[in-house]
This record gives sequence, structure tokens and C-alpha cells, in this order.
Amino acid sequence: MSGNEAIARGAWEAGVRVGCGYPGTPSTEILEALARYPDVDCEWSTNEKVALEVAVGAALAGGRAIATMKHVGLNVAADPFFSVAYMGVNAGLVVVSADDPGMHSSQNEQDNRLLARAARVALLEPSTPQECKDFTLAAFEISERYDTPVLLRTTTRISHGKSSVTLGQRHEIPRKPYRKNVQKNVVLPAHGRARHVLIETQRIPALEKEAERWAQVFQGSDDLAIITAGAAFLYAREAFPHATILKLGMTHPLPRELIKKFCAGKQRVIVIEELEPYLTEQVRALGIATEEIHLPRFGELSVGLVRQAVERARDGATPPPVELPLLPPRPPILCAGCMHRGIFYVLKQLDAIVSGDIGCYTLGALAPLDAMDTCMNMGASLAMAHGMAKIFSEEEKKRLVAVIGDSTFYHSGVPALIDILYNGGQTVTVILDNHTTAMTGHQEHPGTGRTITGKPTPVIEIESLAKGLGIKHVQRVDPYDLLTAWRAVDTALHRPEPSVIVADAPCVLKEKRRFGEIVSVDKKKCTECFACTELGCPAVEIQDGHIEINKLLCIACTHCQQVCADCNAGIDIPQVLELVHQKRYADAFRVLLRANPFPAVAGRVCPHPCDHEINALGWPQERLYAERYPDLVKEFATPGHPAKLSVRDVERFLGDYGMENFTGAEFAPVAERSEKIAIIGAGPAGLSAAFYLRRRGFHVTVFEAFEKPGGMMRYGIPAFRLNKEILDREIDRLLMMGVEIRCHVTVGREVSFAELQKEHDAVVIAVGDSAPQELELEGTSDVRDGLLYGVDFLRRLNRGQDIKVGRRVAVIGGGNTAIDCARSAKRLGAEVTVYYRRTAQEMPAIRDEIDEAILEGVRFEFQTNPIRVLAQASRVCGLELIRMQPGPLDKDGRRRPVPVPKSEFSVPVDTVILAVGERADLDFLKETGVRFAQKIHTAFTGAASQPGVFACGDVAFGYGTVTQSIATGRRVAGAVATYLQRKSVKR
Amino acid sequence: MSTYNITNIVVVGVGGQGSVLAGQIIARVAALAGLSVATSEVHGMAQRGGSVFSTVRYGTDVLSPAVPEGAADVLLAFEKLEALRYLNYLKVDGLALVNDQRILPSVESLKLAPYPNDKTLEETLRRRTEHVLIVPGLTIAQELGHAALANTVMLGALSQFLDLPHAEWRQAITELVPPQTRELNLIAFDEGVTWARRHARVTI
Repeated sequence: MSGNEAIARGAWEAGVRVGCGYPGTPSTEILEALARYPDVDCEWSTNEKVALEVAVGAALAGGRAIATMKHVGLNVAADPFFSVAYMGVNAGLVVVSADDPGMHSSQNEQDNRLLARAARVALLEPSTPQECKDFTLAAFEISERYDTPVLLRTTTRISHGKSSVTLGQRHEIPRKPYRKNVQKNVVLPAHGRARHVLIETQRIPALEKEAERWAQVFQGSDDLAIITAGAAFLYAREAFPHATILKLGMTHPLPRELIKKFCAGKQRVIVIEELEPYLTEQVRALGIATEEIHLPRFGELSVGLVRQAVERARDGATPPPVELPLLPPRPPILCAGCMHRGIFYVLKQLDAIVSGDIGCYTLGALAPLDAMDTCMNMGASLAMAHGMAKIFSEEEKKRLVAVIGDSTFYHSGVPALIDILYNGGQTVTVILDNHTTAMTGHQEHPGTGRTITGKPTPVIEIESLAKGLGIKHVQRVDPYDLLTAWRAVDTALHRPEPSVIVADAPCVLKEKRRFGEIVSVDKKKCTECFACTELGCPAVEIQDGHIEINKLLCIACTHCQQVCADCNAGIDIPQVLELVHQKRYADAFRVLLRANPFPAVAGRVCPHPCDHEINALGWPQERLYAERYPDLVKEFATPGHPAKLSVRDVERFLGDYGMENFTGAEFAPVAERSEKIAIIGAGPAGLSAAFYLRRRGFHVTVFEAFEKPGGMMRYGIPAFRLNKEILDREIDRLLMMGVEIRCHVTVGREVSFAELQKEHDAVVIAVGDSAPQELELEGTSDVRDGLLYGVDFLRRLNRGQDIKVGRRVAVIGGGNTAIDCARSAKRLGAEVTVYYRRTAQEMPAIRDEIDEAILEGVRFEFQTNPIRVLAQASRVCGLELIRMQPGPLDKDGRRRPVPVPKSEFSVPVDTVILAVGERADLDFLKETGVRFAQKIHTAFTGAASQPGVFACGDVAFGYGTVTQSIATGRRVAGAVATYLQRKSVKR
Repeated sequence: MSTYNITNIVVVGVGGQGSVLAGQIIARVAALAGLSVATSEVHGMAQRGGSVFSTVRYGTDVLSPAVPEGAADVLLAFEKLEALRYLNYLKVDGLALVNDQRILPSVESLKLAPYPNDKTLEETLRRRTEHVLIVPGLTIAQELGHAALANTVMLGALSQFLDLPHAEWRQAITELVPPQTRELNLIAFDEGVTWARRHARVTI
């Protein structure tokens, strides 16, 4: 059995009558096991203080009692613990403290041996499950014989280690008679003074003799003598099997005479103990010069650490470790479908300042949720928030939320809630009620309606409790309904009175359930904005760069479906719409800017996949928008579809609102950081990265080869689609924030890549695909007039240069550049035909733009490919083409077009514009050794082959629209920030 | 067998894979065989998808459950990344028995470092030991209809490398798995035994 089970067994054999405790790793299983034995009255008390007080009462009344808790629980119970130490007991009283060196599941690693010493009580430390049982049994005897509570201290390894234990029978101990004894049991100062004298003059000296009985000597060779106890004994014995070891069982008070005797004549004495130098200092105080060893004062010991700590030891050695590659960590995370996730997502949406508490939900503090500012100790969240509010500004107060679990609320949240109400606080308290004590393995609590043995008992309802205290605004919400939860918290934040929100749903690990159909990703619709990964759900995976839902983990909780909005930039569209609906345009604009620094531009040029009727994760977003916001549908209807909301028009409206009402200085960082970052290329990706890095406080310089920043936004998109004044005003925002943009600087010419690397802490390559892709086409080498490349053509137009095309223009290609060229050429008065080698449905260009082009009179010839440019006197005069048909599948699952035999034909043409794609010009990276994955979506963080070098936009992530490039810029900014953060931590 | 006649086994995996139960089964087999046994495991976070590590030690007169670094005779890994994470607990030329299963850590974790590929995995393992066995535990379990049986398949394979009696293995499984899955678990165990007999003849 485990150490914990053995303690329960020992208590039962000792005839214990009452067992109390509060769950806490690694102590929980003691009381769970004890409750399964007959004839013991066990309870989960509301907290450790209550537990110990109940146990003290039982012991005074004459029945043996035990109180169990984790190390920090003894802090809660410290008040009764120190007092009962003076009072003494009647029947035996044992307190178990399970310490957690290494903090496997705790907020600190305090060493509670010190508390036994401070309280002046007997302290026993078992090393094995057998000792756990034997020591517990004996502890009750010691308690009664010396009239002292006994602290039995274990650590995680002892509590959770298992081995066989010899069992005994229960000793039925007759109840000790209860006698009123005011001098002893009423701790008036006068009584206490007398008791203290007795303790120091009688109890401690007597216990010191007793301690000798619990010491054990393992005789070995004489050249190394070790003094140790508890778990440290196991490591010491394992590391030095041939040493002579004094193993102490009672470590307060210490058997001083015995220790002196043991050390006499020994050449080399060392003390091996975990955490505090508790034994070391006391042994040295006896005048014994123990050897200095190099054990850390923190963390859990291991055999290896113990071996390393002792120099010149002859015993076994640890083989040198194999050097491992850098491995992704695997910390615990909130379960798939956990209800806490919904609340933390909402708190993140609201940019809340969250005073957190202790439980599973503390994991909400971790990325990507990042939705907790503080977590200190059980029940601290409410009072800490109340304290923060006393200092915070009105703006900060409107973001302040206390979050606490149900069990934690009963434990010690209630007095703080009373304090808030009594002292006129306004704190918003969210109680995460998952109907159990989840973290420690699903124990009952006052809200579950069951006791530790499963017996029904009245439910103490949080809602009634809060209302009973006088909280006027108490609301129960479903944490799986994100919008409702958002509205509840948002409303509470704007209320000048305290509110309590109970997020109510059972723990999914306890009540294993499935909500509905398991979610799957519609790959055709998924924009790969990764907004769903912001939930941090383990069922949402990225495999080879694409979102996948892990069917083994998903329980169809719908969180990810609600978050998905099919936005290229990953904008939190549901929240934006809600804020616009509430006419809170400034708030909505701020939310928009979290994902897109160019909303006025994107609101005009984005291909708006957000108008899908059903989103990529299967959520009927269009219907929901229409139901929730008839006002918005009316105001922002899609042309031709009066019942359909145009989200892009909302974005454009907000973008324009932002230009009018914000200068950009509002988004300057609150605190500066020292690191400098260079960004190569001032296109949408580079500027987006610049915006989000500057927001975080970094010094950002953008190097741009052309005369003005904007990249494709300026030089690609024609003026009839985007007025460049809008672009200028949105770029001004970056300048106001303190981003430096240096134009006319070509990296590789004016400045070398190596120089940039030297002068900056990180470099982001965002050069885009600015060079035209060459097309192998016969006849082009002879032509001097009438042949143009798409990007050049658009660039020259956008620069306002005079450029002429002939009467008949042929545009080759099917992407956005091709359509923009066609529409621009049309505006120059030409007859324009677009030739594309695949079918109309396969055209990658934005649907709207194709439709506009058709309306403007541009002709399209699909499944047609050019073979040769025909020229006369170096002037284009025609084009020879061939019909195409779908051929075999390529590796992407698309049918590769192949020529239809003998289908060649010619057309007369004056100008040919080649727009079959663009490529990156990366000559400046030659000889730098920098490599990165290009044209694939797998490089999620954009990290290149050298540390501190990143890439974003088209150059790293493949062909994308302006909004997709913005998304990659933001994502890579996050990766750069993480990289620099880790670097500075290492320093 | 290591010095002092104690066999050290380190069992690693991902919370929810059943590695704690697997450790308990090994311990039970050894106890049934009349040996002294000690185990250790960490609770609390195990079910939250985190990395899980437990130890089993058996032999004559085992006192401590702690397996020193570099002293495990067997590294039984239910997941490949976790096999690498705890590799240095394995003694030089110990047995690395690895379930051929990949469980991706969270998206956030993968931003910090990529999941190592199979080549890196094997090469790194082999720097510690030549006795590396990648067992298709998951595939075999899926063929039996339940991915969750992979840990029992692995135990079947493990049983071929330990000097613990066959009957006790079956008894321990019968005692410790949920009653309604007993038959399936015993079949999964046998499949693991068969696989190991066919693919490896090493004894440690």
C-alpha cells in the first residue's frame, strides 16, 4: 500500500475515532482511505483550520483523532496548531503534514519540520509505507504519554511511494473520560505562561529520551557516517549502501545524546536532508563538525543529487547523461472540454486583470489563455482583488475580476466576500463551480450534497449564500455559452456594486460526457488563423501546419466552434460584433487591433471568408449573427443579400472610426524594453510584426527598399480598390507608436544582413514575393515592346507613372495580380482577356474581384495556356495558345492541367501581361547560412535556421492575401517575443 | 539484473495513458512472485495530460522506490517523446521498450520546440543503449479494437525480458484491470508476448 494508505491503516489500528482534513496533494488519500474503514467518523472539513479544531475537540472529549493536510494547509491551521501545543491533549491527537519538495502540486516547498520545532510538539518522519503505519500507531501513544499533539510529516515520495505493509488488528481504545480543566484548556495568558514552562522543562526533555527509541543505526564502513531521516534516508541509503547511517525517526526534539555518541570517533560525518538545513544546524550546535556538502536548499533530492553532493565518496556513480535534443515540454493543461476554459477565454477577451486562486483553474494562467495575474494561496483571490481596487484607477478597476473555485470558495473565500460587501468594495467575483474538488481527485465539498462517505447531506448553495449575505447581483451562467458568459462578466465590470457570477458546469473528468457530434475541420473553409488554438484546448492540434481536431480527446464542448469566425487575420469577430451592437466603437476598434493593425485597409480589400454560412468548425455563424444583431444586419447588409451581415463592412466602418478617433499614440507601449528588432520589408506582414512587437515595448526598425512603406498594399493593389491615403493614415499609427521605418534601404546593398544581425537582438525577414515569376514562353526573348510583368505593371501604375497598353490586352494568370492587372488595363481603355489554364472554380483570385472584373467587361478564357508570344519587329502582335484539360492528380490532390492534343490556336494581341505568380528575392541571404522553410505552412513560428532570425508573410508562409500576411506577422511577432523573453531569462 | 539483486523499471507516458496502472501491475506481479517491491508515482496532475513518470523496483529487500539516474534496467515508455525525456534514467545498455505512439504536446509547447522525428528518437536512444525496441503497441491495440489496450500490449512485450513468472502476469492483470475489460486485456497481453517473441531474443 501507499504511504498515505498506511497512515490511514495505522490510525485505524490505533483505534482512531475521528478523522478530519481538507484535500491537498500529496495528503488527500489518507483521509479517503481512512473513511473506508468502519468505526471512524471522517469528514472533509471546510478548511484545515476547521479540520484541526474538530480533531482537537474530539481529542479533548476523549477520542483519538487525526487531522490531515498538505504542508501549506498547516499554515491555515497554524493558529489552533500552536495553541493546542500548549494545551496538550486528552486522547491522542495526530496532525499529518504532507510536504511537497519539488512542488509537484503546490505553491511553495516550505519545510514543516520547522513548524513542529516552533510549536514545541513531537515530530515523527517515516521513510517507508511500513513506517508510515508503525509511526502513526505509535504517534497516538506518544501523544497521550507526553500530553502533546504529534506532527507526522511525510513528503510526496513517502506519501505516494508503495510497498508491502504488515497489517495488524484495531486496538479498541476505551474513551478517555472528559474532565473540565480550565488551567489547561482555556488559553488565558496566565494559563499559557504556566503551560509553556511545563513544556520546556518537562515535555521536551522527556521527548528527547523518547526520540532515542526511534533512531536506528545501519552499520557500514567507518569512513563515511551519515545522519538522515525521512525520504532523504532512502536516497542516502541508495547512494551510499556501504556507509554507516544514523536514521532518525523522531526529529523533534532530537535525541542529542545519541547523536553525540554516534558521531564520537567518526572521521567524516555528513547530514543528508531535503530542503532546510534543519538537522545540520542542530547537529552543528552540538559541537559536531559535520562536513560541508553541496545539497541544494530547494527542490526534491534524488540519488544522483546526493551522490554529487558528497565528494570523494567511493560508492556507485551516475553514468554521464546522453545529451538530449531540445524537447517540447508537456506541462499539465486544462482538459479538453474543461468548463474553466470558457471563462478564461472570456476574461482574456475582456483583457481582464485577474486575481486568481488555487485549483485546476490556476492553469488558466498559462499560455495561450494567459488569463490570470495573481495566485497566492487558498481563498486569497477575493481579498487581493479588493485590495487592488483600493489603489487601481477607474479604468483598471473596470478590468478587475477575482476568480475562485467552488471548493476554494467554501474553504476561505466566504470571509473575504463578507469583507468586500462590508467595506463597500465593488469586486466582480467569478466562482468556477464544477461541483467537485477537481484538482485533488474529485472530493466532495459543502456544495455537492454528499459527505466523504457519500452520505447525502444538505447542499450549501453558493448563489443563496451570496444573496443571503446581501450581494444584489448574483448570476449563474453556462461557461459553454461564451457570449452569455462574456455579457455577464462585462456587465458586472461596469457595475458600481459587487457582483458574483457562478459559472456552473460539472468537471468533465468526473462526469465523463459528450455534448454532441465530435467537431471536425472543413479544410476548404479553414483560414488557418489559429484563433481556435487561443483556447489552449489539447484536442485542437496543429498537424503539418493545419488545424486538426483530435477525435480521441474532443468531447464536442463547442468552445472552438464558437471562437472560429473564418477570419483570415484571426480577429475575434463575435466580440467585435457584440461591441458594435452596443455602440462601443472605441472598445470594438481596440479589439480589432489585437489581430489586425490595418482594419481600414483590410475592410476594403479582404476577401472576407467570414461570410461563410457555416464556419470551418461547423458552427452556423451567419444565422447566429442575424438572430443576435438585426440592427447590424440592417446597417451593414451584404449588397444583394439584405438579410446577410457583411462583417467586412463592419471592419471598414471601425477602421475608419479608428482613423478619426485615435492618433496611434494610444497604442504606444506602456513600458519600454531594451531589445532591438530589425524587420526587412514594410509590407503587410512586416508592418504587422512591427506593430505587435512595438506594442510589447521592443524597439523596432523596418527597412524598406522602396520609397514608401506598404508593400503590396501600396504597390500591388490598384488605386480603384484602395485609396492610398487610407493606407498612409494607418501606417501613421505605427509611426506614432514609435516604430521607425527607413525607406530606400535595400538589405544586401545599403546594409548587409550580417550588420543587421549584429546590431539587433532579432531580425524578421518579411520581404514578400516582389519579383515576378518567369514563365517559360517561346518568343519572349525577341520582344522588346508589348510584354509586361504583372507586379511591375501594377507598381508603375501605383507610382503614378505613365504607362500605355495596346488596344487588345491578354493577361496570363488566375491570381489576384492577374485580376488587378486586367481591371487596371480595362481602365486604361483596353479590351482585356484573361487566360487561365484551369477552370473558373479553381481560380485562386478573390471571388468578388472576378465578379467585378466580369461586370466591367473583362473577358475570361479558362483552361487555356499560352505557348508562344508572336511578334513583328520586336512588337507583340499575337499569342499562340492551347486548350487544357484536367490531367492526373498532383500531390495536393488537384488535377494537373494537361494540353488537349492539336487544340492550338492564335489570337491577335497588342500587349501581353504575365501574372503567373511572384517569387522572393533572397539574394541578401547568400553566404549568411540562414535558411527557412519557404512556401509551406508548417513553419508555425517562422523561426529560421539561426537563432534570432524569423520570417513571415509570403516569403515564409506561401501565397497569401493582405489579411493572411498580417496574421503571419502577428504570429511571428509572438514567436520573436517569446524568443527574446527566454533569452533574457537565461541571462 | 543490477547490483544488490534489484530490478529497476521506469514507466513513463502521458497522463491518461494508463501508465500508473501499468506500474501497479508490474509491482503486483513481482509481489505475487514473492519478491519485495517498492513503487513511486506522482499524483494530482497526472490526469491533466502532463508528462507522467513512475518507478517500480523489485528484488530481495527493496527499501526505497527511488530509481537513481542511470540505473533503470528498463525504460518502459508508452509515448515516444516521453521516452526521450526520461532516457537518462536508463542504465547504459539497459532496455528501452518504446510504444510507437506519438501524442502531440500542446500547440504552445510545440512553439518552443518541435516534436522530434523518429530518426532523432532512435539515434538518441541508441546513444544510451543498443537494446532499443520500438513496439507497435498502439497498432496492435487498435487491431484489437481499443487504443487504450496499448499499455497491456506493452506489458506483454515487457514480460519477455523480465524473470517474472507468466502465470503471475495474467493473475495481476486479472486483479487490477476493470472487470469488464479483463478478457480483452489478457488477449492484448498475449499479443504483446507474441510480438516480443517474434521480434527480439535479448534478455537483460
